[in-house]
Amino acid sequence: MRALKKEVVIIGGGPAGLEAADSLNKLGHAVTILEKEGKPGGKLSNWHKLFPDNVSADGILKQMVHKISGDIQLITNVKITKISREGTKHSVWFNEGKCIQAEAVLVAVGFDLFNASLKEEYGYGIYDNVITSAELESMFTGQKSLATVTGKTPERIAFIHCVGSRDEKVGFRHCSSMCCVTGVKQAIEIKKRLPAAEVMMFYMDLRMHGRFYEDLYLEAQEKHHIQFIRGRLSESSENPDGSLLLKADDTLAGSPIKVKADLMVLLLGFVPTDFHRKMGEEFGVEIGSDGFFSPCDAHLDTNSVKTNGIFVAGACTGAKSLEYTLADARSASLKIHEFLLQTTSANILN
Amino acid sequence: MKFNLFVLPFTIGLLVLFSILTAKYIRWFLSLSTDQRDAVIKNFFTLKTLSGLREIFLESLLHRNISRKNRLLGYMHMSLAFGWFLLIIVGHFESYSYFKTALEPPYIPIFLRYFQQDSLADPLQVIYWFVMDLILLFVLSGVALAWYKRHNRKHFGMKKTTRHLPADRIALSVLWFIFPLRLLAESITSAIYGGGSFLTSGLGSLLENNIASDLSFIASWWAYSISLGLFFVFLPFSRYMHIPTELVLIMLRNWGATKYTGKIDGITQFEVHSCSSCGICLDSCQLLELGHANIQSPYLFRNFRGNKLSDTVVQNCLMCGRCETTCVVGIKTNSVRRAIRQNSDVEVNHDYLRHVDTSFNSSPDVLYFAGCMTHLTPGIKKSMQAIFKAAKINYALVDEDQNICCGRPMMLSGLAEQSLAMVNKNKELFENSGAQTLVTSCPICYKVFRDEYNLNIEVLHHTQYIDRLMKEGKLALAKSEEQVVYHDPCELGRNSGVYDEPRRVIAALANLSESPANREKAWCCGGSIANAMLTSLEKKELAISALGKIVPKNTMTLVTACPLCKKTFASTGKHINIVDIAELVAVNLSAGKDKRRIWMFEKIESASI
Repeated sequence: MRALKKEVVIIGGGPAGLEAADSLNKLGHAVTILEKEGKPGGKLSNWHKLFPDNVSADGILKQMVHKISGDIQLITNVKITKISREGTKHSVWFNEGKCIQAEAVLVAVGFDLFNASLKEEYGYGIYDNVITSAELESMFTGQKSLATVTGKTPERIAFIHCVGSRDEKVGFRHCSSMCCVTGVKQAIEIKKRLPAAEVMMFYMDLRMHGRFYEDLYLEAQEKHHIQFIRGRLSESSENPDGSLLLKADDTLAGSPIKVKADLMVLLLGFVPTDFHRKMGEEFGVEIGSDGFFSPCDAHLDTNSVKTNGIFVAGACTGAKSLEYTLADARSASLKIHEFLLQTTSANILN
Repeated sequence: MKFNLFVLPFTIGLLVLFSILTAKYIRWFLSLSTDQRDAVIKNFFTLKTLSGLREIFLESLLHRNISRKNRLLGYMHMSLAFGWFLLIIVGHFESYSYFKTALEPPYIPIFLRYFQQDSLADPLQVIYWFVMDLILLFVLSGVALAWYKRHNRKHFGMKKTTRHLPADRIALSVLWFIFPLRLLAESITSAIYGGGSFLTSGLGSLLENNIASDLSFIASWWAYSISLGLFFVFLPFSRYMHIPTELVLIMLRNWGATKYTGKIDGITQFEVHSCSSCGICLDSCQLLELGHANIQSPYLFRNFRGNKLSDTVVQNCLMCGRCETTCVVGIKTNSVRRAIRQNSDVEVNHDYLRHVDTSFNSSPDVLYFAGCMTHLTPGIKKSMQAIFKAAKINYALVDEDQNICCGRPMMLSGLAEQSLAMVNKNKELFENSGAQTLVTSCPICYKVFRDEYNLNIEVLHHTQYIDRLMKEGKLALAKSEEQVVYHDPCELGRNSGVYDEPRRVIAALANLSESPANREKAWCCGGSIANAMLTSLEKKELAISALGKIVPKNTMTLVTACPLCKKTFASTGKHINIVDIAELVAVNLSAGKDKRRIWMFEKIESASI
């Protein structure tokens, strides 16, 4: 088995890439991870705690990064320019002329967070006290202070669900499935830090589908008295003091409401990256109506695409929690291993 | 008395045609509004009648407008219309020169060669024969082109053509037969009795030996008469109704009687029946890109004429007005569609209006009405507020909190009567303010305030207002080297005629490029409020397609002047900065301080992977 040793390139050094690198390495393959940022970890590096059990994101990431050793090579600050294929060899070109060859390529590029400026009526980028869920996490991690722009402790905080999700008007019909629970987790965290604050959630319906998510929802209502208002925000405007006026429809009460808030948090949806579009246009990888990669079979083979030797794992095939991303990465590793075994036996027979 | 039974089909056809036309036109005239009728009476005995007649000559006979689109297409229409007109007129003169009376039955000049078979010792007759042959050749060249066009419309500058109904097809075939049959009848007559000129006599000598006989002689005159009679009977029930109706419409327009009244009236009827289904407008319709090929104006009008309106044909339209600018007859396609959409059955609830306070605490000089769409693009609103502040204007934002819609979205969807409550409340608000100027950021609001509110206050779109502030030197601005392209919003450009002010403002701030399809030819962004039938994906497809056509390769920033255009283009997710003129100005005022927030993309690059 050890003699097999085939080169695999993983594009993306986030959770999926790191987990797959570890598994493939244990299966006896030489792995190179190409990461666009200066360090591995992807979006996990900017997160504070993880739902539903509030473990530290940093702790999890450290354990994963710790496994990068031996036959796993990590190259950071990578900008991929081209992927080409000759026979069974794939060449991945990056950083002006550098090239790495591999028998198999695993695409684990994850997702982008929706560009909140596109939902202009919510005022992101225009009103100072409108922030994103990602920016709130960096307030939790201490990179920024949990305060309004003028440094005031917010008394009323509004969370807006489905920003860039389930919204055809901004071009994304799909449900990102992770933002509901993220919002509830973040609201609870705020109440723990600022018990006096009033926290409101504007939602369409809450999709608390994972294990223990519903418990979190109950805790938010009963223990933390977080207010859940069913209705989509229609628009927001800025008061002279920098606070925000939110206009929404309370669809349970059946009436329009206006609410003042010091801070407004937009729960951003997961959207495909530019890499998705490029892989689709230039390499023929199939793209679904949501813009994410479509694997060969949605049930039986979630890691292969129609192009031989290219594999996909993690949130680049649609929004996933960390739990499912890691499971998917391990599944992809096994799929790649099978593929490499097959090509070896085919070569011997020839 | 000069008579033969074969003239009956023609004569009966002509009588039927005149009776139907008279009945219809009287009915439509009676359904004109008082204003429209007064305009006719007031202007009838003025020079306007003469200018109407001049326009009829230029358009209905010479087809000048069509020639401007395409010379060949113009020649085809001119040879048929003007040629036929000359055949009738010169035929009458010829008839008069033989019979010295103008009171002959109308069929005499039409079938003159039958009734005047003998050659006279009159040199004038030879000249008439020559002229009439020449005119007939002129008409026949048009018929040949029309026939050729059915299969090669590209040579006539048209990509699409209208799909015709059976009645139209029959009328078309009959029309094509009329002039060849006339040629045949006159040639056989020439073969037997002599006479005729180069064409009829020439063809006559070819037919002399085998075709020309007593039987073919009378049969050909019968055939010619039947083709004419059939065409006359089919005319009021086919698209050829446009021939007489357009004449009336041109006169009504010159008399100033075609003002839109908000409902289906006589003018709507004249407009709808003036459409010849020529199909010249079809290529301008962007919905064809989405495969919606049965909703364009000619189809709407035809279904209206045939009383077969469906929801789709009425509602599935952007009301962008592109077809209106290409219509060679000048039919007000948007007004007609609005009249057809009008639906009094829908009830709306305006209870909330009772609680809207229209009193003013301050006395502003300028009112700023942002508009509903601008509330959804707060970047524009904030920029306007910065501009007012920089120019030290005493202004009031009137729709900050209890904003009432301007009413135009409802009007465009056929609820004009129902929108009046909102219109009146807004008017009350504007008039109570005592302000002299009303500025709005939304071209939809601008159009309705200016054209339908009858306000005593000056109404300006913010592009016009900024242009004025700049002229008055109230804004300290500097020109940058940024390359931008301007997109004319439908409601501001084509539908309101504001083209120059936005360009002046932009040109003072950046390098302005023009897209090939600008001004009245500008594309619709696809986000139109007038269309509730398209899906979001279809609207996005239109927006992406329009962006591709508008933005030049070396340009990263598209400047527009409509919040709806801005939103629609931005939601395509394309790597192009979509900016309103107000934002361009405000960023310039703040010396680029806020630029990063709006200009999302800095340089032209294919997205990195």
